[in-house]
Amino acid sequence: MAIDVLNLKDVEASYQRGVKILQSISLEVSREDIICLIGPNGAGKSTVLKAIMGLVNVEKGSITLNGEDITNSKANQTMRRGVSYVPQGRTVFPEMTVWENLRMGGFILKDKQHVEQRIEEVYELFPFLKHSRNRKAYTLSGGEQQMLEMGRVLILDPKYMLIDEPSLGLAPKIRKMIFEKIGTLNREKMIGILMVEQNAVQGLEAADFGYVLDMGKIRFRGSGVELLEDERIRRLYLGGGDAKKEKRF
Amino acid sequence: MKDFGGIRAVGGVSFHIPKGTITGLIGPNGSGKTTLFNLVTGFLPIDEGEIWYRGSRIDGFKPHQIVELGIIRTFQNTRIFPKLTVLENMLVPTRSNRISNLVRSPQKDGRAEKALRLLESIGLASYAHDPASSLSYGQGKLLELVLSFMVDAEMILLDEPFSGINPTLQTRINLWIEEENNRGKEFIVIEHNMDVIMNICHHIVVMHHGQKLAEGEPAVIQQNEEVLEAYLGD
Repeated sequence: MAIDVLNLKDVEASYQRGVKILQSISLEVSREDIICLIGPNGAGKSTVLKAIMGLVNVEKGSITLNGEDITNSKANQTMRRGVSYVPQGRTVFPEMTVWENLRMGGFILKDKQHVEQRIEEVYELFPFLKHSRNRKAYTLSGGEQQMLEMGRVLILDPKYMLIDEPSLGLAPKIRKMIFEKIGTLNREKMIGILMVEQNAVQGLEAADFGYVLDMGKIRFRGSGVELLEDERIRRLYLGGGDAKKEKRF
Repeated sequence: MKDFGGIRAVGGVSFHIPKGTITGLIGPNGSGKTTLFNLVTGFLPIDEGEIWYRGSRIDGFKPHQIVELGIIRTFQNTRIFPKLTVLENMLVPTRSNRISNLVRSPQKDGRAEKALRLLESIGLASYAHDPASSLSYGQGKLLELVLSFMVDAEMILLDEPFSGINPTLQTRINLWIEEENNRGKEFIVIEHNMDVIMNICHHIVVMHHGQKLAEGEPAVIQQNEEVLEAYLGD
């Protein structure tokens, strides 16, 4: 039995009966890893994260956390076990302040003093959030909202974080900073990261290991560097461009 | 110029879009780019200043009047009817809101065929008869983009068309934009993907804190110290 890993084995999932979105997905995330999923739109990348959180029905296969079966467990149970999820697009509560949003991250915790303590720890990681704690979330820019979303899921002190397109809609300078923060969370807090990215080059550069999903199946797997240097992947999934050129921004 | 209850979103911005060009509108998150689109397309009234298009003053026009002039826009957060099918969504946009236009048959006037062709080219043909709510986030963005190609427009304003879109499709969409531009359509593109912006744009306007920070050709903008500092990073 594998210890301290999040493991998907031959997972099949669908939103409607008969329309399989995921077909036999197997992958593994340890607390030392940053894993990046890339692939075309509609390939099933977001569905992988939803399957882990029990937000889509897993029909076959199994998902285990440190050997314990969590297949089709409810999202709140999986979060209690140490897996946090940052969905795609901006999901902060716009009319709440930064502090109130962070408190919502600890909604399932009874000990509110503990939540306050956790908020202080999140402030250390994202000093910007402390500085802006009384601002309403809708007044934050895109990058600031992304930091708030990441901060909010950290309240539960997760062992794993699933992040759906962390760089979506972010300016180049901010994008770089978000990937750096993800690296920090992984290295310093031992949080295993499973992220989906369409900024595929930067996503793979930030990752230890990557998977290419297409039509619900894993087509390629390898270290971030291996995938970036693979001619086929460059042509089919990275737009055929020169990866080094894109790096500049 | 546009104030939101004391917050100046766009202050005294002047620029000119040269005819027949693809113009990039870039700048940090919250710098006023989308607000500019809202002002140009009549979604927000301007507080001060003027907007001109091909010899006519157009500020104060309603959104549908802007569309009748041939200016089309997309939205960063997609405006798709979730319960209509993907194909039905494609048949919604129209340049004129006269009743005769709304009741004409999409089968007879070729719009259905055009819609299917566009869906095919971005890989959404197999979803044509599914409700739009079944699309993923990125697929919704693609639908939003091709919706703007359904109307015979002269100028298309694209608000972050590439965010959430896989790089291979980005390359294909780039080619489309260039083709349509060669046929005479003008584009203004808000985008954070600098590869796209630097490759396809003839002209770039950089916004920062609601002001125009810089304007010029891509090669010049890339060297601009202020732009590097505010937006691109080292």
